Parts: sequence; structure tokens; C-alpha cells
Amino acid sequence: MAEANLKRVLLIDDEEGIRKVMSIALKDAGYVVWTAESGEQGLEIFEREKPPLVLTDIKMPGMDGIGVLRRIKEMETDSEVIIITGHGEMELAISALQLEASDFITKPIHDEALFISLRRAEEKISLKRQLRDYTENLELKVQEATAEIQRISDFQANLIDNSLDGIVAGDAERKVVIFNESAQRLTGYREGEVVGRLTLEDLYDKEIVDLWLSREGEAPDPASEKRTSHLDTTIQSREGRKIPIRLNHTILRKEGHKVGCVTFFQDLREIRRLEKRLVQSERLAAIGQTSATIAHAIKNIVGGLKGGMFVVNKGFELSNQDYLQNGWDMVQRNVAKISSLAMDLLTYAKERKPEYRLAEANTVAAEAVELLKTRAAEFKVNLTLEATEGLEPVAMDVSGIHQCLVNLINNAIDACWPEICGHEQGQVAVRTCRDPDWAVCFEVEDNGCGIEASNKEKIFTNFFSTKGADGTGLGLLNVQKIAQEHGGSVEVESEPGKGSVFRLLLPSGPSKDTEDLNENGTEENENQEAYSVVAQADRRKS
Amino acid sequence: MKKKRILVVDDELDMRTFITTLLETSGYKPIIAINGEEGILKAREKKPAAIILDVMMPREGGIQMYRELKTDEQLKDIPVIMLSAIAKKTFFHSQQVLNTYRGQKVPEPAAYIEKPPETAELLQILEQCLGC
Repeated sequence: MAEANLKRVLLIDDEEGIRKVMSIALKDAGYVVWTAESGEQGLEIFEREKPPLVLTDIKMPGMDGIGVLRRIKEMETDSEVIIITGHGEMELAISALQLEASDFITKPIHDEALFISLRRAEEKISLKRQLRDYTENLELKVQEATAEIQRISDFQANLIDNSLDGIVAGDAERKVVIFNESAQRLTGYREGEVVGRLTLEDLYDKEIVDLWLSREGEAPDPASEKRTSHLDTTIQSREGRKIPIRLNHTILRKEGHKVGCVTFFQDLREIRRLEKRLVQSERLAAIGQTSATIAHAIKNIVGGLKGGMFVVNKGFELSNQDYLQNGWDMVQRNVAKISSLAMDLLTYAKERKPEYRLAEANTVAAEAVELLKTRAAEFKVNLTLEATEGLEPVAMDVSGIHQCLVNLINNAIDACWPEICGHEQGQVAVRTCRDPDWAVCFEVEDNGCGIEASNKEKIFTNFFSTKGADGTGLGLLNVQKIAQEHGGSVEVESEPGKGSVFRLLLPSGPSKDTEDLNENGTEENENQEAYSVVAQADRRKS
Repeated sequence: MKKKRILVVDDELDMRTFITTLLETSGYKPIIAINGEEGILKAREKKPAAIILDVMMPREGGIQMYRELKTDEQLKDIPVIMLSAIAKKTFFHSQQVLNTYRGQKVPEPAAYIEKPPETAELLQILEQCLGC
């Protein structure tokens, strides 16, 4: 296409003969030809047709060839102008070349010279066009690249400004070069007061800054110069106060030399305030939930007490001994329930101070089993102890572990309740066993109703009970609490309809953090008392 | 006049003691069952004039027993008073769901009382149900 476009010639000559002869030769060679008999006419056609090639006689009446050349070159065009000169007009021809004429040919015109000249002009145009395309392209690319750089720079500036972290950067002379909005908000300084005016040690501890920037020449040690982990320090505010911050920094290097450093910091006061608020709201939620559950439990018990009072009153009214007995039993049962609730709550809420002493697991288990024999019999449950002989004595808080076992055995007995699981013969086995990972393992197994998979997660959460009004929902929670105090663990395996096994696992000694608490075990007696009341309350159940 | 028999189905001893005492001292003859299964048997056997039925019970609960009563030709006309710690709304919702799910249309109970029951309220509702 470009080549075809080039084959268009405007021929300007005042001599008709030359116009005729040349246009025939040009047309024969495949050119489109316009002819003009004067410079003025020639320019008119040029402006209309924009031919790439112009052949013009140099000497013409009116506007001569130099004038045409000048005007064409003034226009922004690729067109090449070839000057036709007569004999002895060499001076003019040279000045035409100075005015950027493409070439000149002399009269009489030889076709060969003409076409060589035309071809040269065509090549020149095409080169010029390529060059122009290339340049334009280059300019475009530079523009694009500049825009991209601008965009990235804006983006980064935005990022720095809008960061919630304070960002301060310093150069090798420690002068501050970046001081973002968060840094301004926190310190009270305006950007203009800091950038280029203050140094890093005006803001931070001098020692810290020295550490970053002093050893200029030293070889980089990536391990120590990588962004250091949090450093809790302070930053100087405009009023001269020291504001606690958590600081990170990065050393900037160019060709191995330190050229500055960037620091990022968060307001520790803000972090601490948020942490505090979180803890507080969690506490409030827990208190709310706990109060609601306790209120519900108490409401049920009060219902029972009211019912009992009603029955007792009827007994008095009608002098009916059965009513008196039944009503009084109701009152007693509900009083037992509320005291067991209160005891469980106390155990749960109190900071226990366990007292460790070496004890035989078998003895502890035997005592718990003995205590619950009667209750098991009431429930027609066969309660057995299978002790493994030769177990090493283990340091434990005996009253705590006793309470755990009583809770677990009571649960096992409840699980065998024929009303719930329809067993003919409830079976609860208490075992002491060896365990590869623990010093001792107490096992309480029942053939009761088992635990539904959906409940397995909940049994160790507070106030979850499957026993309806009979459970406080705190028993297992207390078992777990005591086990954890020992650095031990509670495990459960259960199959609905088949039964459950609870394992209480204890390590060979008290865990380290609990040992420290053990210095004054004065509350031991109180605990002992508490658990026996619970045990009695439990025994009276049903 | 012969005392009217009232069947009380509840798994909680306290509630049974309270309601039977209330019924006895108000001129009724209470019959006790501790779960739904036993409740249906006693209902067939003793033909009570009304049934006071707890909702949440181990094994066969009140919801199941209620549907059995209402789909049994012999028993469906006995008025049933539901007595439960479950909110009335929750119970009626469960009935609707079960109706849709099982394609049955079980009528609503004669009355629904939330626990704990007030003595006067319970007696008044019972009298209304018995239509006397």
C-alpha cells in the first residue's frame, strides 16, 4: 500500500513540451501524474492531492521552483521535491539542496536519471515514514511508561499515606524523608515540620537508630538486617511525650551501602485498648450466659420447692400423713439440688489450691467406690472396682481426684438408669490401669445409654446437662478443671446405647505451674468439706 | 358421684407428686405414668376423662404420645392438656412441622400450660376441658 501511494507525481513546468513528454514517460512507468504550468497552480494541486513526489522546474515566471520547494517544506509533509534545472543553473540547484530538495536533474532530461532520482526520493520518503513511525511509537511508549511509573508512585504514596501503621523513612544522613498520615496523627507533627527537618533520632531512641545506620560500611548480614521482629519502644510526640509503639524496621540498601531505613509502627495504646475491650466483652458475654443458666436452674428448683410447699400445706390442711411425707421429700430433694448447684458453682469458680501428696491410685479409687456403693444399689447398678496391683504411688491432690471419681461414677450410675436406657442390669466398672504416656489412668466404664455424637462436644462445656433438672451441668467441667490442674487429661469414648468409658489420666507429678501455687494449701480442708457435701447431696438424689 | 380419672404423664417425681396431690385434693382420681409408652397403656386400660401430658421425657416423649392418642380411634376424644417447660410457641411449631412431614392432620391439644403450673390455672383449665 505504501509503495502504491508513493507512485504519484506532481509535475510543474512552464514549458508545455516538457510537461507532455515527461508525463508520458512517468505514466508509462506506472505513476499517477498531475501537471501544473506554474508554481502557484502547482501548490494548489499539491495542497489538494498531497502527492509524495514533486518535480518542479527551477526557473518559472511567478513563483519559481525554489519558492515551491520552500512552501512545500513549510507544510508538514513527507513529500520529496526534485528540482529540474537548466544548464548553468548549478548555483540555484545547490541552494535548492540546502532547502532540502531531494535531488536535482538537469535538462535535457534523461529518463534513466529521472527514475533513479525518483526512486531515491521514494526510498527517502519510505525511510522517513519508518523513522517517524518508530519515533512516534517510541514517544508513545515513553508516555505509557511515564504514566505507569506515575501510577505506581501515586499508588505507593497512597499506600504509605493511608496505611494504618505509622510509616517513617530516613535517608543515610538520618533525615526524615517520609512521614505518613498515621505517623502525623499519632505524633501530632505535621509532615512539613518533620520531612527534611528532623532526624530519626529526634523521634526514636538514639540507640535504636545507631543500631540501624551507624555501621555504614559493614557487609550486609541478612539475618540481622532483615526486618526485625516487633520491638516495643516509644516515639517522641510533638509535645515531647513518649508514646509507646510496636516498631519494625527495614534497612534500605543500594549496591551494598546503607542508604536509609524505613520504620513501621503501631500505637501500642490502641492495641492495648482493643485487647482490653475484647476481654471485657467476652467476660460480659460469659457472665450474661452464666447468669441466665443459673437463673433457669434456680427457677426450676424454686418450682419444685413451691410444689413441695403446696403438698405439705395440703398435708396440714387435711391432716394427711402421706401428703406431709411426700411434700417434705420434695422440699428436701430440692434443697439438696440447690446446695449441690451451689457447691459445684463454688468448686468451678474458686481458685483451687490443690495439695499434692503421694497416694496410691487404688486406695483413692476404692474410697470413691465405697462411698457410692449405696447409691449404686438404689439404682440397681452393679458397681465394681478392678484394681491393677503394683502401681507406683503418684503425687496428686487426693480430695480433688476423689471428687473427680465421685462425679464420674455418679454420671455412670445415672447413665444406667433404666428409665433412660432400658437396661435390665446396669454395670459400672471402676479400674486403675497403667498407661504408656501417663503415670496412672483411672477408668470408669458403664453399659448405660452412651453419649450421642452431637452431645460429645458439649459435655465439657458449662451448664450442659442431659439429666434435665437433676444435673447442674458442672460436674464434668469440674472433673476437667481438676485434671488440668494436675497437668492431666480426661478422655471419653462412648457409643450411644452401649455405654461410655471415661479416663482420668494423671502425670507422675504436678505440672510446673501448679506446683508454685502449692505453697500454702490451707484451703484443703474447705475443699474436703465441699466435696463431701456434694457427695452427700449426690447420694440423696432420688 | 364417681371421681373422674385424670392421667398424669410426667417423668419428674416432683411434678407427679405436686399434680397428683392437687388433683386428689380437688376431687379427682389421678393415675400416674412416667413416660409416653406407659402413658398410652394406662390410657387404654383406665379410660381417663382427661390427660395431663409432659412434653420432654426420656424414651417416648409427650409429642409422640400426643400423636398416638390423637390417631387412635378409642383415645382421640380424650382432652389432653400439655404441661411443659417448653414454650407454647415451640410446641405448636413442632406440631405443624410434624403434620406436614407425616402428612397427618392432628388437632391441637385442648390446652397448653407452661411449667411451672399455677394451681388455680391448672384446675380451671381442667374443668373447662371436662366440660363441667
